Amino acid sequence: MAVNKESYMAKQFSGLPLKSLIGAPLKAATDANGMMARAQTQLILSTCFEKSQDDDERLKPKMITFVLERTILDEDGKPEPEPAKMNISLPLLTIVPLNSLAVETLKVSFEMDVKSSTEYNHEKGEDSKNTSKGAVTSDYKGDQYTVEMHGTLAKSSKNGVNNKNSTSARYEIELQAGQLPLPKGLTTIIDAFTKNIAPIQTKKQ
Amino acid sequence: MSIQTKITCPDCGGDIHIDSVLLISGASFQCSSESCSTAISLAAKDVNKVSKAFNGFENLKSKSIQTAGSDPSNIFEL
Repeated sequence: MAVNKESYMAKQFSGLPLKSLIGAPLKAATDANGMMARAQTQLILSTCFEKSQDDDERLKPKMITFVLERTILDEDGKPEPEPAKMNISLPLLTIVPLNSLAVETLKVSFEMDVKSSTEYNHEKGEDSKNTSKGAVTSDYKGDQYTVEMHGTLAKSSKNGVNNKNSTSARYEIELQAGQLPLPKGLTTIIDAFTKNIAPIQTKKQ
Repeated sequence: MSIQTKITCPDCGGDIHIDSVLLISGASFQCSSESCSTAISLAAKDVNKVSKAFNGFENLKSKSIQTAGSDPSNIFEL
């Protein structure tokens, strides 16, 4: 009997477009990520790159200069009163946190309550009255007599069925879409830029 | 609103954590490695260039959050 009930509950979910319910938000999040990535790309190209002077079709990274200060120790191991200053030149691209614009987590909590309530109230009433009047009449004549027969048949029946059934189920689906890493090409470029950060001695004026 | 980022220390290879607002205002940032005394600051001539990049990035981020925040379902309509 329990199997039948489970089977009945499963049938309640059979018509649900679960594919759409789960897939659509995931697809929408992916699309949103794609749109944000495109916007980011436009921002990167417009602010972190500039056209090469030699070739208009080529882009080169915009460089920015940092002043690096480092304490210098003298021969006795004591720090010099004035720190050494150097310039380092690095691409602007390396200091913009590119990877932070994305839909980090997507949770699709899908709850469904199926409440099946069946109330069956059936009353059946039947009144029947059968009247039978049968007359068998004949005149009494000597040994003759008149007979009248009256009959009534009444039947009353009430048959009541009251059936209440309530079932519920709860389904929760949780999806988590993690943050996508940067494309390998861009990571390689940034790594190369970062590794080549080399101090250049500031010219003494 | 400030943006937190980091660059590799050219001296020891450690991390130098940078706050965008402080960077643009001329502050210097020291390497997180205890044994390294290296500090960096942005050259005055490049302040506008960096400021423009951070502002552009911040605007893009704010726009995304604002659109999504007004109605969570709008995050899918960016």
